[in-house]
Amino acid sequence: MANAATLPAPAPGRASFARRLLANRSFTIGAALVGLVVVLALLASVIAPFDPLKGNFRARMLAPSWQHWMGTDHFGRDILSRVLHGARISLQIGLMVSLITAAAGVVIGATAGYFRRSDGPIMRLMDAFMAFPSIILAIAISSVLGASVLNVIIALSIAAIPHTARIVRASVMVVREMEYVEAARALGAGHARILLRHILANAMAPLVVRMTYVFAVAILNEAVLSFIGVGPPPPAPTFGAIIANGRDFIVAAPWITLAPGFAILVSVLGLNLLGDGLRDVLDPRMAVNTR
Amino acid sequence: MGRFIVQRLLASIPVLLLVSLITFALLSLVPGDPASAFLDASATAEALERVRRELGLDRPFLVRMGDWYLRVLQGDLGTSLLLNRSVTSAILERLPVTLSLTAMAFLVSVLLGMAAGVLAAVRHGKAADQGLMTLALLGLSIPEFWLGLVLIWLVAVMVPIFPAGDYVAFATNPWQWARHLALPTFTLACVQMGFVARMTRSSMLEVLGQDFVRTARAKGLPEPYVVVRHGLANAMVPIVTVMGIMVGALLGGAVVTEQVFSIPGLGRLIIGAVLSRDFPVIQGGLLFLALIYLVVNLVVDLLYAVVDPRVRLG
Amino acid sequence: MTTTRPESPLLQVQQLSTALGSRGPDILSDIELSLGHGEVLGVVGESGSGKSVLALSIMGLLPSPIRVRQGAITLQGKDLLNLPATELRALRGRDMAMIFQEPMTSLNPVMRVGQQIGEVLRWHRALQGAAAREESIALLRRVEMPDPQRQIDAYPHELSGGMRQRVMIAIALAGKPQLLIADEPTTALDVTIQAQILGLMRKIQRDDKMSVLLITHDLGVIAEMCDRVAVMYAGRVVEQGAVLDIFDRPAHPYTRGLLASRPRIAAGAQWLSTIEGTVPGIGQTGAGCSFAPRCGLAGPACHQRPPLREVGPAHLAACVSPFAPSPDAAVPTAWVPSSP
Repeated sequence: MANAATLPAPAPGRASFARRLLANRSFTIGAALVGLVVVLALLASVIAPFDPLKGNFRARMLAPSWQHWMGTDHFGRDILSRVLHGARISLQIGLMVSLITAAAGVVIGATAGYFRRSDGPIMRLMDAFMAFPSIILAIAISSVLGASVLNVIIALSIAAIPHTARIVRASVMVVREMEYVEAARALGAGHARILLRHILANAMAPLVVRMTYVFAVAILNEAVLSFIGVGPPPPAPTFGAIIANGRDFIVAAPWITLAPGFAILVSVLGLNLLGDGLRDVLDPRMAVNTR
Repeated sequence: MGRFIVQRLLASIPVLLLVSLITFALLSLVPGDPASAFLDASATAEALERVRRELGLDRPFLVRMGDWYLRVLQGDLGTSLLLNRSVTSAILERLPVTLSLTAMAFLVSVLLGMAAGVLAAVRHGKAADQGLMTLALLGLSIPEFWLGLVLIWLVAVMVPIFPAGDYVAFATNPWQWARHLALPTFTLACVQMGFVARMTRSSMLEVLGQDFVRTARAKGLPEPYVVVRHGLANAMVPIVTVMGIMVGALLGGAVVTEQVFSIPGLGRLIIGAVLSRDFPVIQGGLLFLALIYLVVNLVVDLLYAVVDPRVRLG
Repeated sequence: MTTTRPESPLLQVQQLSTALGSRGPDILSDIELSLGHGEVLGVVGESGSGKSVLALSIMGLLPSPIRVRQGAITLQGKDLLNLPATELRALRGRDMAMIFQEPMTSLNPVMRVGQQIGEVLRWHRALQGAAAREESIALLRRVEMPDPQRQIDAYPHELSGGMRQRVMIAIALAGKPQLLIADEPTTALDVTIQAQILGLMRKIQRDDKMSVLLITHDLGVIAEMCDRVAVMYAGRVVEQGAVLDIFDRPAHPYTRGLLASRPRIAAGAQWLSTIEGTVPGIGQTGAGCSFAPRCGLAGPACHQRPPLREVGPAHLAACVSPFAPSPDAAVPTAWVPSSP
């Protein structure tokens, strides 16, 4: 299987690192896009011109205009407001999934990579979870647990953890064999200390890059879950739900479908660019396997 | 080679067992009573009892688990609550549809993706390279189901070139089969194409800088031949290793694409089951997909040995 | 071994300069070389002297930012630098062939060795199928590969370094070249294998009367293999002549330094003589003699780049005050400037 982690690049000086990051075009464009989406989402309640949940029967299926920048849907709800709130939900879910996946992935992966005897059973379990296409696993878990934001987060995290654990494990295994770890052990450092200070510090780079992709995938998958109907329950204005609504009216009112789709595209594109930029700066050798 | 296959099969047994366990355990995750999740609030007590018995919930956990393993080994995945037929037969009926969609999408994404990657690598730094890679990035950032809807809107409804959905079996009418599969295949392949293109490009760039490519050029061989026979032949090796993951992602995407294009495949069956809480079908479908994925990975490992002679045993 | 200058040289390099990019610093500067038919010319110098770039320039294989800035390279009267690409490609692998330093990485890992030889046969000699296979086996036999019938189907990773280098030589010979360029062919090999490969090359060169441009940093290889030798320093040829002349009466201070720095077993325990300083990097050579910063004899005249001048019969050196060879002077054992 492809291995995304390689020898860790020598830790760059702080100042030059920031400079190189900002000089990387991929990173800056990605950061700008993501920043834009984050700001808009955070201010959703403030800047949304209308209540995303309230319909207005006299304003049904209106094309984009000065009053409604993205038009209205079949209930007369303002699409722009719905998209802004949908962005907030997506980002919340994406962030939570990334954090949980990172935490669990590190714990599982580091354990498997460092303690050889646990490696076999842990990796078998990870392999078993990875045998299911991740979106299907997420759909199944989400449907079984019931529709709610929390369950979506759990489902998406479970789907993302195995691959992340594997990446962390690979980093840990590489660094474990390096000589300075042997030196630390010879000086009497205990397992925990070695793990934390030396090994994990170097596994950080591929992990951080991976997290941007996990975030992006979480947004995409959450949209799928909502589209199918196992995401956060209505009337939550998630991207997927808006698109699902718009599906029936695509000829009469294509803007209902187009607007949230573009919003997803911009967010995911931004995250991918951000991840690419980070990867280029942190360790170009990781460039073979992405996501 | 035979020994290699046997070794791999043996190594996949623990994973298979765990996969079955996970699928089985899904039912236990249901908060509350699965029977009432399936039927709604107005169900009678006896209807609930009936469903509970069908799901085997009246028996202790370990007995159920043993029973599950035994039945799975025999190919019996239970009975659909909704359709009242064998899950296995329902799945097998729809499988060819999903497989043809997935296989076509796989071919398209590999062929087009590799071609794009090779072209970008050969024209490194120039407009073609940047253009192709931007397209690839867009491709893998786009939500598949949304792309499907947009395509339907544009080229099936507004400008009716392709049919908007449904499926025609190959045996019935090959041309219509192709026509009906065209849009779904492209939608499904779009994301993977982006991946393959990017991977191929970076792999090619690395390979083209290697010494043996210089040797090939020193022999006076024509450049296109060198790029393919010496360049791509080696660049493909890391890509083959991720083909298994690709198929897994395609299978996942196929499920959603079938929903968008109303294609009667395994994906629609599973999603229908998900929405109606038809647990046996959810479990069976999941197990089947995992099995397909494991078989595909075995084939990929064999393919890897074919493509890279350094890996072959003995 | 001939010591006279060849009449109509097979290969002639005139005023060749290559640079890094269109406005970058020079890597090679005004190189003048000639190689006669059936002659072995050695090019010796440290790493960074530009020897490999010279070889790649002749073959037309310079990697992208490096390009020829000026000069002419003529092979059998054909102007290589101005040939259309297809004609140059027809020459490559057929009339001129090259073997490289790293046998471990110079062969395609996913292609059988026989097929890699067969490519040359197919492309340059129109041999296919069974005929190509037979010829491949014959070539392997010629390069003294053990069990050629079996090894022809081997993959490179199944062969040792020495065997791979033999395959490289077989590939080079397949097109029946008149010019063979060997870039450090034995540097990456074990010492015993080195001797075998060199012996093999010498034998083939004599049998085929092939012209060889042998690039190396090892003076011992030069002594064993070459008729004439050119000494390179920082992208310039600083001395050129017959091997015996160069070794007995080195004229350029750099050559003297190189020869003096060889460790000798017979001399017993002694401080190793070295040349102080380091080789200048690309773009770091000034307007004058490139060796002046390290030369104990540098004077005001050395601020101008010294041209290659005759200092003996068929013996050139680029120095304003080369060592005048006195008949009874011993081979220098230490870098001590003798009175000019």
